[in-house]
Amino acid sequence: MRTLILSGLLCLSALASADTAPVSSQLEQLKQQVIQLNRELFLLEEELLFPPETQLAVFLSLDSGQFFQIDSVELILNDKPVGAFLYTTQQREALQRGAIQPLYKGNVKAGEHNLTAVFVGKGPDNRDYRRAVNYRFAKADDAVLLELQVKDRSSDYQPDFIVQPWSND
Amino acid sequence: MVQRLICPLLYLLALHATPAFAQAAINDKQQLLTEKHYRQAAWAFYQQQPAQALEALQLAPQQDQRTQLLEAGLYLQLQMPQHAAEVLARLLAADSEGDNALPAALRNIALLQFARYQLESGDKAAARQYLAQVKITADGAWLGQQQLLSQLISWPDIEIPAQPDFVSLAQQPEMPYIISNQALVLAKQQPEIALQWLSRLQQQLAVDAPQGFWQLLFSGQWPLQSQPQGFVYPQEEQQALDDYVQLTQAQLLIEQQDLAGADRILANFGADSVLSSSALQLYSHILTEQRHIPALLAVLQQQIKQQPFSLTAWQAATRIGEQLERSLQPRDALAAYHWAQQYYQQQTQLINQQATPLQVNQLQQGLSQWQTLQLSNDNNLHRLQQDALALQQQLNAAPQRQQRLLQLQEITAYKLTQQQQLLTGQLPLLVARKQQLSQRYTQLQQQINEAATAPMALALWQGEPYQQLSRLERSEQRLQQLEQSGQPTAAYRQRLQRLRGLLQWQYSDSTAQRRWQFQRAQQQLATQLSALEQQLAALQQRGGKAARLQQLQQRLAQLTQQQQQLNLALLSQQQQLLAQLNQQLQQIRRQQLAQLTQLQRHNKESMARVMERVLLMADANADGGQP
Repeated sequence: MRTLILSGLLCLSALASADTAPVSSQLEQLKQQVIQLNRELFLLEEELLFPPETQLAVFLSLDSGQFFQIDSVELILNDKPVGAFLYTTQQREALQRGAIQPLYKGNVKAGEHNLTAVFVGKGPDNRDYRRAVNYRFAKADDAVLLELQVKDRSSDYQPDFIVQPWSND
Repeated sequence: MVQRLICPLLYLLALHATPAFAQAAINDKQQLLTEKHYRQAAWAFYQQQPAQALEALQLAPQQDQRTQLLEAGLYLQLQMPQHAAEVLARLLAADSEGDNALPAALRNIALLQFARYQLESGDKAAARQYLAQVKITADGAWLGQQQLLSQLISWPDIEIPAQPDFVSLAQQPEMPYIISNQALVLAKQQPEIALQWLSRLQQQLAVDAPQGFWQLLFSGQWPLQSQPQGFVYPQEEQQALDDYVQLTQAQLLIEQQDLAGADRILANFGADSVLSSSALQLYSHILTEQRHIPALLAVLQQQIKQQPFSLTAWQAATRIGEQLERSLQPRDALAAYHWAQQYYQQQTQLINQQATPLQVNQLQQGLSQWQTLQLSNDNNLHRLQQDALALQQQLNAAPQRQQRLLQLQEITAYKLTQQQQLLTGQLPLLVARKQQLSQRYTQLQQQINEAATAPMALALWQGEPYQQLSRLERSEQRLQQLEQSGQPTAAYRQRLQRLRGLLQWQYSDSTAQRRWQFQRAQQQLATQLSALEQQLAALQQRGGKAARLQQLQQRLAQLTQQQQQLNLALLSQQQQLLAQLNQQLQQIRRQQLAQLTQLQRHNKESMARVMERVLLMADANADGGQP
């Protein structure tokens, strides 16, 4: 009878049996190889598909998000839509916890470009809110990394939409 | 179990990824980029993509302590405890004080995590050592985890306080486990006190029935309602904890021979509880002791129904006959034994049908009832199944990886062809054009220079004035020839001089305009030359990438080969795991069949015994009935 209770207690720590150790070790090695392979593939993709001379990457982050609950965002590059994202509650929470979303990655020619981001969501007092933010940039040899930041503006209790370039050197 | 702390760990780390924290800590660009990578990893983690999160994290330019801790957590998410342990060990070996030190709460989580890993690896000494380094903060965070781990490491020699510490453990979710473990150990010496502790624990766990608005209004406790008294468990866990405490109480009462007390608890035990099978086992024991035959028969039937393919159910089948035999109902007992015999045969048949060797595609879905039960009851089997499934997941991702490799190979080949065309086609043309332009530029420069030194040089004239000057020069040459032949030429010479003077006047009049035209043409050429040189430099730079592209092509070929080898290794490992799983399942099948055979033999013996008694009774009745 005693074993009944003890088994209930010790199920809290189902200990790994010793004879499975080598197998688990091999398994980890294989998983590590897969991770390394994926990482190398990612780096090669970066170099071949999105070289710095043409790379444009856009990220999105949210600061607090009290005055704006994001529903979707649309990206327009030189008057052509290049990407859109519809947020789930879980994704919105992730952004509120400080995560940065990689929103878009593509290639552009050297020269002047115009990026427009259209934010749709709920603004203060749960009202429908739609706001576009425009950003002009010049593409040269370095990759252009832009972060769309949604911030709370306490001065007038309104959301603020900023495009912040990352320094990539 | 290693993962028990992962979620709190990663969520706590993610909390540290708030922009406010980031802004305070960022000093330079590297740190800024590391922070961005960290927050991208957090995004992938929240998307339930730990592999991508790890990738984002490992590409960060810097690896600070917080990044390493997140990395360790992600390794655990990916079922890679050894790698997690390596990172944690490195992290814990680092300086625990100073500006770059890990915050105490995060350090405690890392220590607890690592201690648990050591315990689960069977190294209790190491687990104890890391647990001893945990410094609980003033807010008591992770105190429960620390105490519970300490109990698991030292079991059964755990510390027993004079009184259960409900106060300091009030906000700890592990409180019921800690107190009930203490009660279990205490019961060896002082069972009555242990029972009292369990009763108090039950009171602590009791949830007040929700009060209505008016009740709350007049209760005078309104302000207290907003703050719960202790840790609030999810409803299902609350019920399971309550059942666990009751079961422990019943167990202790049985040990004290207070069968009535245990009966009172178990008679009302929830049939839908996760612990109902354990409760039924205890209850059947009490009823057997108390000889409550009708109730016992009902319990045994419940056990057979609830626990298919289990020794408990099989024993219950033969015990029904035994109880009827004990209650002097031989005919009913005989019928029960007959039924048990059929039941055993049926179970044997079902096991043989359902215990067929497993295939990979069955692991996720398609397991028989018997296989599902074995995999959920045995930790080792469950682990093997999960490992085989994890490998399958990697194998499923292989075609996609192969596709990516193929795409990259195509792109590299395309770019290399472009390079070749560039070097053999465009580049020589551009070089020739450049030479041409340079020559023209030099010519222009010469003309400008000549214009400065010889104002009437023929080369500087263009259009109609050029033709006029040419004719004049020809006429002057002819005049010279005429003079040599001795003919009179004075009038002609005068006229030609007049004409030259006129042309010179015209030339002087347009000198500034002509110089401007030359200079303009030269400037245009210079601009063209400069653009051409830039174009050439860009093309030569692009042409210089051929070597790098060839390197990439080689690397891609290596990676393709590596990928194929990896696939083979994954497949081979999966087959090994599957073979191991099937071997262990067959071992269990043989054990169960042996148990069933033994029970059948025992049942047959009992049946023979009862049959004999029934026959004797029949004979006795027959003898008694005869005159």
